[in-house]
Amino acid sequence: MTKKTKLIIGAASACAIVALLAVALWPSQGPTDGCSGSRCTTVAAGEPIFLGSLLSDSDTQGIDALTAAELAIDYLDGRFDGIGGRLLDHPISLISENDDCSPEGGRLGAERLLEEEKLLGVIGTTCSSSSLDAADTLMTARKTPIISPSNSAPSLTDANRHQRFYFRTALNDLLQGEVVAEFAYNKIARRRAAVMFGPTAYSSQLGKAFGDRFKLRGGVVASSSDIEASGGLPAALKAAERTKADVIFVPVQMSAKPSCAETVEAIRSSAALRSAQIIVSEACQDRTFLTAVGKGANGVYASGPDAGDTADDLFYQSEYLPAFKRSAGAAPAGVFDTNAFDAANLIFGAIRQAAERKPGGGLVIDREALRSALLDIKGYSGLSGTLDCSTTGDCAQGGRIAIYEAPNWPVSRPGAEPVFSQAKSIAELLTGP
Amino acid sequence: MNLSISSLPGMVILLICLLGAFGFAWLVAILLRRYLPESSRADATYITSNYMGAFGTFFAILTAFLISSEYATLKSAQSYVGQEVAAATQLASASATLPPPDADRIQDQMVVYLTSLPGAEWSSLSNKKPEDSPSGRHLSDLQQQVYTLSERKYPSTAALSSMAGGIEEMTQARRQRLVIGSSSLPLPLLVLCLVAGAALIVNALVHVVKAGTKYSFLATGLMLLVALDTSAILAIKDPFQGPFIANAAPIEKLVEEIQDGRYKPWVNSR
Repeated sequence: MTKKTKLIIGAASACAIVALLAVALWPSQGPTDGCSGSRCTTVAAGEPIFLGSLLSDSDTQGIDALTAAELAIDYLDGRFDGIGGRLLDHPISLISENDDCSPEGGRLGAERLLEEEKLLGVIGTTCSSSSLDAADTLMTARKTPIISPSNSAPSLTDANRHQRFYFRTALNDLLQGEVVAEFAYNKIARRRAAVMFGPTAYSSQLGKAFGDRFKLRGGVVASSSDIEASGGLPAALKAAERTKADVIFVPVQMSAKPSCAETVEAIRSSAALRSAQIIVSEACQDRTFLTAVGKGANGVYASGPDAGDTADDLFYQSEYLPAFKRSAGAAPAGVFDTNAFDAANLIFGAIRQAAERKPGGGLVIDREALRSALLDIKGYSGLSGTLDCSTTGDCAQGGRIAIYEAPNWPVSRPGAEPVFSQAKSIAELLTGP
Repeated sequence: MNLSISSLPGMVILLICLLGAFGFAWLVAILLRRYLPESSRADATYITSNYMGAFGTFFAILTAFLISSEYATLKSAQSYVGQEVAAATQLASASATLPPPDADRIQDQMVVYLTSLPGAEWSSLSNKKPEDSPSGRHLSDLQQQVYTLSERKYPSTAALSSMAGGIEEMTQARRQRLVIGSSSLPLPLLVLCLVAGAALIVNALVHVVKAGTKYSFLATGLMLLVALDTSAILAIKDPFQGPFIANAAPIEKLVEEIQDGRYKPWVNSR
């Protein structure tokens, strides 16, 4: 054999060995690492995921919302069995604080919740005033998403003052103001409106939204009175009587002082206002109102989210509602429980999207990624409606607002038909007249 | 953990086989020089020449059979992985029509199951102890979730039937994988192959001893061939462990898609 042949055989053998080595040593995908620093929260294997609720414990809307948030945790295992499920194989620890339906309550509650450094999200607040420049600001400073099931004051999601980590599943009151104005002006043909509002952000802003849209149609806002200002409710009544209001809008909560029920009873007792139609808002659309006012409530209109779509939902009927009744002992007394169920599920979904799973079961969660995950939600079929979270925090971009006439309110008569219902979107109102 | 030779990296398997072949050859060469008298070497060369072709053919047939049979097993394992991923994709897509909390839960459970495959399941299959794998429990949990939903009123019949089909196919594909994982290389054939290889080396060395060291390249080539073939058989023999295993990339890709929200219509994946 020649030297050349030997060389060829040697080279061929070397090539075979090199080829085998290359296959054996082919590089595998290297580890990736993204999140670092204070914006990241680490949840060790077996450690709970901390969430908070900042809801009123004296307002039925808040009590319902807490029950619904607990049901969302319960349903993480696919069963409403009273045993909390797990998220990414971690138990959920829900820390509950009271928002007291006030800025001070919202601030104090948020501060107490934030004592838990690993808090990843909050369901709350019940009242807009507890969020506005209070809980929303504190939570945003600590990059902790807060999703309210029942805040509806327009300024909370106004692009000029919105706090980045604040979201809500409740409908913006620009929609409610528009639909109530349409109902009052065109459906029941009223032209002189009186607005009796409280000093809270919710109440004053919804009153203003209604007034603006009523005037836009050619109506007159004959009086607009803060029932908690000096002179109080009697002065507000006198103003309505003096200006011969034929429709009175009362966007006041049941927990306010005077409450919505007390305000309506006072209007009912005024002979001059006997023919005036009374419209209350969703914060008053509550079984406790009907009980407190009794027969005097008959004929009172209540605006709020149209419960029709939710009532027809099979999951709601067959699973959620029976579970709610088992848990709370009765059906929801208010209208925001499904918004709270959705809010909790949005937080769970955002955690799933943002969490980086570590070997062994630990999680690293980037809080900015958590916010981005919420902003990625488009067309979420929630129990409260379809949700698309925008950068200004509104997850309910539109919806159907219904007007119910007492005693046929869905909170006391499930399946009650509204006397008026209209679908509106925020975009339509912001770009329209 | 399985510490069999096939669990080692390909390079290490090759080195062991090369060392084995050359070590054996070195020992045989010493023995031949010591115990094969100069006078008998011509006769020995004549006799071994007659056997050389037979041993070579025998070795080639055996190695070809073993390599192709193990490669076919590997391809089957890969095919069942593909079937399982396709069925899992069907399940994920069907779950997207459920209310979000249900879809989230089903997909969470799918991620738990699928991520356990390339790690714990592959390892337990290569150890021939599939009962040690947590994947069976994870799949059973997933089945329970799907069956629980089928008793409820709200999911559509189409979604339920698609999900049931998906989970059934996943279960079947996993069962087939377990069967493949429990089969092993026929040891007598491997031993026969090694004996044939050893005989080839001995034959070649008898020629070298007679003809002189300048013909040692002949024996070296044969030793390399025996070592490479043997290492190839050992490397490919276990489809769930070692350098040539069922590719888990389709599983990892599906897990990534689920985690990115590709099967949640309400997540605007970027």
